[in-house]
Amino acid sequence: MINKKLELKRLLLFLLFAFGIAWIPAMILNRTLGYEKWFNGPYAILCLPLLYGPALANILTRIITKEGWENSLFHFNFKGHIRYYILAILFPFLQGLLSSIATTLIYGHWDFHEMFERQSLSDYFGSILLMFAMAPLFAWNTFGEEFGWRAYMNQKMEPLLGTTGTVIVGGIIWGVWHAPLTIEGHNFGTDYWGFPWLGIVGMSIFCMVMGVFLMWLTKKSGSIFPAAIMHACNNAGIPQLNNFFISGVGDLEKYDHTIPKDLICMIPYIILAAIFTVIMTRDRKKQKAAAISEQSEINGAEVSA
Amino acid sequence: MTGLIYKEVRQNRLMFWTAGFTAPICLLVYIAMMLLASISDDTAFQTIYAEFAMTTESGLSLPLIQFYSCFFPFIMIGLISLHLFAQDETKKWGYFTASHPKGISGALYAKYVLIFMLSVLVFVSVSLTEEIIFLLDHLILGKKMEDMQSYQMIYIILFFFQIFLRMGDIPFIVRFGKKRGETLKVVLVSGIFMGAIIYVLFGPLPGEEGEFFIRIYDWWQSFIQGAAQDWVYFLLAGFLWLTIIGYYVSYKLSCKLYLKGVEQYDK
Repeated sequence: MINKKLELKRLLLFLLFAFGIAWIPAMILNRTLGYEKWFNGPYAILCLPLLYGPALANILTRIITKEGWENSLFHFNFKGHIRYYILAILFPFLQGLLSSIATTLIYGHWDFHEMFERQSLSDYFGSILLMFAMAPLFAWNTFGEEFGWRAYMNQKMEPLLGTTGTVIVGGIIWGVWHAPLTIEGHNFGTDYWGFPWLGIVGMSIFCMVMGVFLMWLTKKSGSIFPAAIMHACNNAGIPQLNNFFISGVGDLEKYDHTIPKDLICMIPYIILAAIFTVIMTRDRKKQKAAAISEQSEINGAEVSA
Repeated sequence: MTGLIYKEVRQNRLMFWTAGFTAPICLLVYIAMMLLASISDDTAFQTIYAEFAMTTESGLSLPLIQFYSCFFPFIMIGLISLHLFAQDETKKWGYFTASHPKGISGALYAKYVLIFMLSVLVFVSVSLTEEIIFLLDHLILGKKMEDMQSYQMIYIILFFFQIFLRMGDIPFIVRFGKKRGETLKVVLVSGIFMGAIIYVLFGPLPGEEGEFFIRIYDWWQSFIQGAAQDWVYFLLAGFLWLTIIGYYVSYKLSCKLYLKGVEQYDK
């Protein structure tokens, strides 16, 4: 039986650490060095506390609350789960594919001549092969976040808020956590209506959607590494490989990517995320029912004995 | 934590430290050497320091360390990681492994995963060391980010090359033992290496006075900017996928050869 009060305390402590470890240095560095210099510039090594903030929060919370390392998900679990590692690379690709096709359908029109003129098929497939092999290597960059959000926050939140609640609230928390970067234009630039609040909202929605797939991968594989790989593939630009499918919007480099436009084009991916949320909710109900029947069987056996 | 991976990690902790810290240590040794040279009265040290000062002024010194700090750890880990097999080269352990519930496949899986993880660790370590070098470059020489060169692509290629080499070595070592397997590898690799050196030194190279190397550098620049010919990227992608699939095939092959190898162990 889960002690909900204790779990809530642990969750709050974790969030305090995750935000504190990342936000305090980020805000100091934003003020002193300026975002460009420390995040993309020569001081990039200082990004580490920010990137590994949630992982450190996970470790510190477990140590302070003497929780132990059960369900740390820190193992590969390759046997029987290789398909989740492959899906971790394919999900960002699918996201790019669906969004690009939606962009063409909503804001452009099919112009195959333009598509092939911009990029040859061999170049497109070459990039896919190259990126699919290389991008997972950068999982060391994203492991810090996943070891916090998926390996700790979600596990604590799900018994308290349910699967859908975890997806929504977890996504908002994750999106807001990016705020020190979003307000400096890291995610959407600075030149848009509603800056920076709309950016933070947009980032939260994006994190919510992406979080569904990350959560599904983590639960199915029982490991944190597929989620770290998917996150790395997303950051390395695998979704953008499918810009090949965008046509009829004029010069792609000058194409105006506003946040509402991007969200509209993400609708097919959002629908897919909703389906995965339903699947996870159903799986959880099944697991709960199985656990209850197992418990009643044990109780019955004890009574008859 | 239990299991065969745990056994390997416990027995080879030093390897993890080596993989993680060789690159930053390369950097530290270089800096310490230069500091020593700057305060020493010895003429030999002064000559070194004068050369260092010259390269520093020209902005060349740190990229040179960067290059050195990235190659050396990969070579180092390539040399020591095969020790993972040597430590278990006894008949008793070999037959015990075969009788173990996880069996030969489990024992070799642990070793393959560990060698892969060591290479990942080196990759992470050289990437972080590069960022430290960028910071030093900026603080000491006042260089801007746009003037600095990242070797990230080289690290990726070196990482896969490392795995590619291991994919060939391991079945040899499993079948013939470390001693004979190593000899075969050394003969093969040093043969190729010596051949390449002799050709570069004495063979006909296109262009004059190092023009060939300048051309290679220019080509590399265009390659990392994505401006090389399409087939080059296809070839690279093919190599990366060959390595990934080959590593798995190598594991399967090693599982098949394991008992034949055990029969040949001395003890």
